[in-house]
Amino acid sequence: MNDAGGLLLTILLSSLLPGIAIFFLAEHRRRLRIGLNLTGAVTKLVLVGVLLLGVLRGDEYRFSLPLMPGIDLVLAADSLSLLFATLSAVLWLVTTVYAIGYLEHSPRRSRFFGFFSLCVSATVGIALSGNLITFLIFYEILTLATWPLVVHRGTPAALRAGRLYLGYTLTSGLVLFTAIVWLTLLAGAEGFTPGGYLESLAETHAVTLQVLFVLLMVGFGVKAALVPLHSWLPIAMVAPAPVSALLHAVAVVKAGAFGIVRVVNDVYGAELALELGLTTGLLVVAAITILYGSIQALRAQDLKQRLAFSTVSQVAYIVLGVALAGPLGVIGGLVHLVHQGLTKITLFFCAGNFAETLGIHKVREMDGVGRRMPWTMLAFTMGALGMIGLPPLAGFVTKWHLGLGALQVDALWVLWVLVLSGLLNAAYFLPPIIRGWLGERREPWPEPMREQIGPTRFETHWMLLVPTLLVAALSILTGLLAAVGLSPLGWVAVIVQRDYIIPGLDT
Amino acid sequence: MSGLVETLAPGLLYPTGGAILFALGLYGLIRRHHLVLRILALNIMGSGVFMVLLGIAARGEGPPDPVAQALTLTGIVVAVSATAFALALVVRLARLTGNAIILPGPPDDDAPVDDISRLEHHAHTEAPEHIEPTARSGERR
Amino acid sequence: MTLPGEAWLTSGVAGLIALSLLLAVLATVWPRQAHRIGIAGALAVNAWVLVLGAVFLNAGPEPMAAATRVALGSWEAPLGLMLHLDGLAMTLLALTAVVALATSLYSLGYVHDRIERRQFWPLWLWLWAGLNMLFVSGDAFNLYITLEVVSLTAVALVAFTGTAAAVSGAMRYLLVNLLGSLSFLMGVVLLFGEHGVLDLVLLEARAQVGPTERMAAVLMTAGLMLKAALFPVHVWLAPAHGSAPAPVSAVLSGLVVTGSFYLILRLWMGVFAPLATPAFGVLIGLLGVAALVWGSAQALRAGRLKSIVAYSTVAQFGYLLIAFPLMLVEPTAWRVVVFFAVVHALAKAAVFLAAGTLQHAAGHDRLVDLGDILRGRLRTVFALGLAGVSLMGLPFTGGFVAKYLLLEAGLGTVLAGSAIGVLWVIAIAGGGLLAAAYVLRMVAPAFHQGRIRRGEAVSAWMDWVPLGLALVAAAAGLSGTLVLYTLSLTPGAP
Repeated sequence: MNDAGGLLLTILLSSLLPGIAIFFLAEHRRRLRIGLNLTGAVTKLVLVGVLLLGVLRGDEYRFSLPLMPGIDLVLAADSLSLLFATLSAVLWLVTTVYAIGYLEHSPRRSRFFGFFSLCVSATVGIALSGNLITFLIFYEILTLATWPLVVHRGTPAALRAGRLYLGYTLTSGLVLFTAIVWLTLLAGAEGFTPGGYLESLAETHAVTLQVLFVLLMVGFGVKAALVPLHSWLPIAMVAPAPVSALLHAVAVVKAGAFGIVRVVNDVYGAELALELGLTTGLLVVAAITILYGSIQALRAQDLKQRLAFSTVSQVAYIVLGVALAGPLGVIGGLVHLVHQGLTKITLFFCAGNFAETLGIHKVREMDGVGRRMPWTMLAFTMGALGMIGLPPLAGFVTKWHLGLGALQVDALWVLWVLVLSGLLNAAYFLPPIIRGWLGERREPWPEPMREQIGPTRFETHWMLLVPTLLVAALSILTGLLAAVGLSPLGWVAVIVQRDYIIPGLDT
Repeated sequence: MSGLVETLAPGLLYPTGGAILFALGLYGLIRRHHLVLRILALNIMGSGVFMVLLGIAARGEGPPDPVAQALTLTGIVVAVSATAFALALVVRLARLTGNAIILPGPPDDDAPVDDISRLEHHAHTEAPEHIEPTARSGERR
Repeated sequence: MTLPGEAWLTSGVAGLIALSLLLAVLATVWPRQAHRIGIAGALAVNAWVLVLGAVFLNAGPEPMAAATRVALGSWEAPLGLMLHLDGLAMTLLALTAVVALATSLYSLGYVHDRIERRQFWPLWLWLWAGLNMLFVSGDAFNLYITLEVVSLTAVALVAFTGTAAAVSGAMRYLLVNLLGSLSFLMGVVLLFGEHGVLDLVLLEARAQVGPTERMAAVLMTAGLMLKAALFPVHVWLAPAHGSAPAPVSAVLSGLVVTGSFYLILRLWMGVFAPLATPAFGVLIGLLGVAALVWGSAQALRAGRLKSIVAYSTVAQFGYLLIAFPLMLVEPTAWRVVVFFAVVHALAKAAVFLAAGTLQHAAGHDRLVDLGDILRGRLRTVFALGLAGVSLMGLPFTGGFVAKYLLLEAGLGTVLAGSAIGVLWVIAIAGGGLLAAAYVLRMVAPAFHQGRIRRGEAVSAWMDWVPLGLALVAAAAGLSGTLVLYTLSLTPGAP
């Protein structure tokens, strides 16, 4: 039991310790810094793999540390934790390589990678949290660790974005803090329990539970960028591309969505949430967010802005699935946690490659980029088609399950939302694809990267290209191989079968 | 008038007198600005406290309570040391500033500073050697 | 029956006081060696406190078994002076030891001039001895004496640099302190007149509600509030703490102010407990909210680094006042308050030390011109930020745990049906946001683009000690259970 808990702690420390070491590293120790970064990332991936096998075998992992009288810091691994932890570990390794390439020759890399590692440690901590208080602790650490990354460039715009980001996240953090203290006061510091642990309070404290649910959703909704709490996200796009990628695909936005999943399924339980009429409201908010995000994405002319609004819209799919509160809907929502992560990180890497290599920032500047950077453009296309939900790509798997989930709980209007958002997705993702492949570029490309570091062997620096192609391949594979047992979909089905007590799941 | 005072038992006279002295001293401390006067006022307050204490000591029928007298003596010793220290500080202050009154706080402290816009200004200009801190607060007024 | 631990504890308390007085005397007699005496002494006192704490905790879990009363010179109360060790005193002794050790190490680098060193160390050791005595004094008059020792040495240290601003700040600080002490003394005298005893335990046993008690309570509380810079009698704090040398500021904001607050708490949990009414509690709580808002607003306006930190002390002490009405609903909340004061002291001392390093490197502490130094000294900024996170009450720091417990107590009053409790909850939660805003003002310039400069060389002590203390403040997040348990070993307290 102790050893088993030690593994969880080691996973956490595998990025924390290198992070701290990097922070105090002199700027010119480039090799050592890269070594530490990659060692941490690979170690973490291996350890998460070990954990994954252990959990598959049915081992239990738990680590706890007394924090206050009656309240412990608890790390635990259930199948849902592993979904998020694996995603984080894989994407961290990839993003680290990308970030090393991206930030080559830029100043203050020690500071950047220090906070970068702290950020990932917090994300994995969130994944492995065994109760709400532990979740809150890592959630707030994530807020703080991300701020230096958002303001990394140090421009007035970056600092303004950072202020806005902190304003939103700290305020919501306090709402969350208050709600969690309140909930703990009522129900004790219980661990996450499939099916929830508040059943006994439903009779006596129905209204309080409803209020608390709203507070919790506000607390998580800011990071998950639910409308109308999303305004910080597009502005935070001033951050360097790897940060945006991490923010959108794994860390911040996903942490919010993951919190919502935890609260609905493991604190309240889908049954109680349905009973108290809480899921309907969440469903409506998710639907509005999906449509609103898509419309804003359509209007955005800046490529990164468009991707940011796309995130607003796509992350709401996760919330939508959870709020459907039927087994298929939950499968759709949870699997999108992974699918959206892989697809969105691909798109952000591509956007970063375009911007770094050719100085492309706007959609209309993409004319003919397919001929200059075919591989990146190919990755971009696959990512975008995945987002649109073209079969058999990852997004399709999600939407298919969400649609079935909606039918399962007789929420037909959700189908219309899905169809409409699919059309909108196509409307904002097809123009860059068409321009990229079919557009004509008359004047020569500006080559900021070539001017800075000289000619590159491939279409761009290999450390930018390889991670991009890797995540693109992964995102294609998750869709193609969705039927295989260890695919994200297979794993999510295991989660739902093993852990979830959802009304209507008898099969 | 003197008849009234004689009729008062020491157990009542001294505490009442002490309380009046304490209040007078407090008034002086607040109203006066010259530091020597303020220190005097504090001493008057202290004497008030000791009078109350001695009055309490003499309240009973028998001989005065020795504990209270011992406390008073200790208190006086503390008061004398504090006064000496305070006077030394006044002398130092007077040598430094030519005045025996308290200066207002550090000058830069109370001015409202819009530091963020100024820092952004720093970010724009290439060589932010020095920006006169009072210049902008002047503009604001 | 005498427990074996009791003899240990008795000599442990008396020995601690003797040791700290001895150090002060030695440093006064041999000023040339004062810094060596000081550092050796700081280590010795820390070891002593560690052992004392272990013995104390070992004597639990019965509060009466652990708490110890020592009659000086075998003269028992009411005539003799009593030293009094309980969970509350033990906690604050330990806090003092930790902060004092950090400050001493820092001062090795900060006070390097030979002449200055000879003046600094004896004063500082007397201040420390005074604090130790303050925390274990069980006698009202003796408390007055220790308060004076602490005040006078603190004033001397504020004036230490000898500039006009410093002497002026010290003068103001002195007047306030003397007024506070006299007010306190007047209250002591009234209590003595009423009950004929000075020992706090005996006084508590005879506590009742009467006009004399009310008068004494007002005088003593007002005096101590003045010394603790509690709202609305806080205006002296920023100039005094802001102009003092950095290690002195750290001790003032971390320990001296906490000492006065400790006395208020002790009196209201003991002698004055019968006087506390809900309406009075609400009044104090409202003062706390005002302090929080006013202090934070000033910290958001202040133009100097150290002023921001000093105003932050006013704001943070607002929480301690807000806790007062909470204690009336949930008496055990006093432990939370003390824990809060402890983590605040650690974090605040760390922030002041870090600010001192930056000030030394830059030659000034005007925030607008400090950006290049902040960018050049990331380690110190990291210490500032980490301790700042604790002030904000965010994880993973002592401040978070304290804020959690405080919020829990606040929500407890709401659930107990107190409507005004909602205000306390909002203030406790919202105060963190204000703290975040002013901490950000200090840290954010480090992330701006611009020139990078390391400024004047600073000694390794000044470079590393703030970081170490900030880490201690963060690690205090793990000490919650221990501290709360120690505090529960306080006989007579709920």
